[in-house]
Amino acid sequence: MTRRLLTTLLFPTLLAIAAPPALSRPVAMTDADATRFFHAQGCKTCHARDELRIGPSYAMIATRYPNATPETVERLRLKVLYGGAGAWGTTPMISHPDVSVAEAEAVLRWILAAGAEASKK
Amino acid sequence: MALSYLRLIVLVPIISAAYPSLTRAAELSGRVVAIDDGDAVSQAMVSLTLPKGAAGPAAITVFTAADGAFRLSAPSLKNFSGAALSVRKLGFRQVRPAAGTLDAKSAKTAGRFETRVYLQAVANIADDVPPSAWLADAPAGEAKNITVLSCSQCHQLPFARMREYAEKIEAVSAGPQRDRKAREEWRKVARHSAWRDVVKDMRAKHYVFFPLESAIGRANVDWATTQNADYNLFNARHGDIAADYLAQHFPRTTAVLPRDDYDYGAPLGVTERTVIREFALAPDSVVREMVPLSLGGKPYLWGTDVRRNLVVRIDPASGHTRWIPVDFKDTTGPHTIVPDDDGKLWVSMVDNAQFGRLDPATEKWTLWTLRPPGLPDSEWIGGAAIVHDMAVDTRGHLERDTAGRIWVTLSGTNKMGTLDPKTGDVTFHEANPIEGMSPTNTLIYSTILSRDRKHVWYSQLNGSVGSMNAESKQVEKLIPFPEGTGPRRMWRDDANNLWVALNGTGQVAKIDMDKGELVATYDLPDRLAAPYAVTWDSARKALWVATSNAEALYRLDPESGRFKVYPLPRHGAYLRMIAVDAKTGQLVGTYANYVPTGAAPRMGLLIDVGD
Ligand code: HEC
Repeated sequence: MTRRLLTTLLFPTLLAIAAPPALSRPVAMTDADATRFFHAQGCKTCHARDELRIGPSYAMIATRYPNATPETVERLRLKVLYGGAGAWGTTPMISHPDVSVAEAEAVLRWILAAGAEASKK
Repeated sequence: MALSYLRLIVLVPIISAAYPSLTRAAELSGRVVAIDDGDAVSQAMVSLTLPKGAAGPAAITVFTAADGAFRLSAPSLKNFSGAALSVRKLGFRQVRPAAGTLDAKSAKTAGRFETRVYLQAVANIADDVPPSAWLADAPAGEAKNITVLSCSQCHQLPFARMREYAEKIEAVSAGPQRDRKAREEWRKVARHSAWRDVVKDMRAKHYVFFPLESAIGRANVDWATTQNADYNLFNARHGDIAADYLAQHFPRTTAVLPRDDYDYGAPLGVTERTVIREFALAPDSVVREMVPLSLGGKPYLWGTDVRRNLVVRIDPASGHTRWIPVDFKDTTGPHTIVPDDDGKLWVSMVDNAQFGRLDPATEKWTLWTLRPPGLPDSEWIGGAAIVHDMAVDTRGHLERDTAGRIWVTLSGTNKMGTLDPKTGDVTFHEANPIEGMSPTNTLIYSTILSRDRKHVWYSQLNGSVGSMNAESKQVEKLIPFPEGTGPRRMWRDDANNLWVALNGTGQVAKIDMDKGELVATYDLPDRLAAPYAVTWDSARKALWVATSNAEALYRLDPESGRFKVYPLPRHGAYLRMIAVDAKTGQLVGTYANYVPTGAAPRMGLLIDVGD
């Protein structure tokens, strides 16, 4: 159900990203899409836009990776899918086997943009 | 005899042509043999997964006899194409045919098939053991009990995701590199810090208790509120104890477990007549409880989907599920479901203080609100009544006190409630407080009336077992348990004994309700099993113990004090409760994990014990 909702929500984004081979500019996730995604995947337990919870805030992530290159985006995308540890401390991030590559990329682009916005305040 | 046989021969082809579903069930027989010595493997678990879309259960499991033989019939199938077979036996792995494939040849009789499966003894049983195996060798004591109690309430300790996460903690490589001693010291600190973060994470995850769209559910709660330990199932101290215990004792890897490091702890009770049928439920449901109840002479299983505000009805013959919404304007979170003597179903609900009666024939609801006065409006779990359990009799049917009142526990508040369904009158009564525990932390859990229906017993997961006088509402008896014991679901037997599952210590307690005394405790075969519930089986004179972590059901013979083990066919087989169908003697249950992301099976269970 959640999954179906997500797919419907992200459908335009998926299409844009799936289009090979050049990474055409993906359709941006709206704030509402992102909120739903964070809720459905449980991201909000550890992350928030400004607030420090268990992991870094989106603002901190955006500040750390300004002008992200495709390599950076890929690196971060892998973290969303498989989890990670060591970049921000000693608590590992959990993996998200339910998230598709396209979803991970879309949400990352939202984080980098929205986080950058928040960090300017 | 000869005549009726003849009639059958004539009739069967005619009937089967007219009603394909009435044709004889496809039957698979076979033998399970060890390749090491060619010996038969007895009590091996043989699971058939039916092809997608087939009617009936999603999987059928039987067990081999002493000579390794098994026989399995699939009423909805003509043959086994598209079905998958797996054979499991602790200490072995399946080598031929590969697990999940089926290599059967057709026998002479139509619809009959035969197969042979070969197993091989293994040294590493990591993939086969239940979760309880992983902390078996960690030091026993209060800290361990508290950890089991706190961390087995929503998922197994440790379920697959937790093992994966623990390996991630060990894989962090940011510490000192060349100095081994320094690195070990650093890793200790890193572990503690990571497990403390896990506990924070779990405080936030508490809000999965409530339905998806609940005003006090996960979507709406803010971070600061989630971290308020007073609103959790474990208090701040217990959270710290669990984090420290896991940091010290959780295995550094769970990839390997030597053969001799785990066994069931008691003989298996399964026979060649034991059959476990598993029915698929919606993947996004959370069905915590399931009971049998016939409707129009047809047997059905009924469950509660706390996540989606539904009651589910499973037709075991077709496997068809019918989802019935609760007739309420807001979220309800149906939790405990109990039949009564009139063929109605009673349902307690964790959200919006609802308690209801469902008429299974008309699907009409009667609802009552059981909200004690004075609860804060907006204090999340701390402001919720959480109508949890209601008193049942020896058969698991709804029971009322001598004045016709139904008794319930209100888990958000450490209170008992009563409802007179005739007048709609409700009353609320404070249970004994437990030092260091908020009302939610205390977690008043289940309730049972004594045989004379004049005394109402309750359990507090982080406290005692107590009784209240049903007339004066005064607390009469208190049976304290050490911290971490975790008295959970209770049941009354035919001799007015109260049986209690001790969730944290892996025991069951027997309390004489006449005397108000604890008369015995029995250690389970696996002390980390996290027993959730006990069910008295009058016909068998046995006590069933449903476990969350042992992926098994235990049967206690109270006369001898001996247990038998009935292993369940699936990882993630987290049981809460088991109901006994008084008519058929079958057991009914459900896998009741509270994990939302598909990390656990969603299935209803119907078991032929096989005795
Ligand atoms: C109130 C319910 C609840 C309790 C109590 C609980 N957990 Fe969890 N736990 C969850 C949920 C929900 C998940 C997420 C599962 C998923 O996403 O599939 C989870 C997942 C986990 C994970 C995997 C990492 C993750 O975040 O997905 C670990 C590790 C874990 N729990 C440890 C613990 C420990 C240790 C305790 C005891 C201190 C505990 N849990 C108690 C609900 C709970």
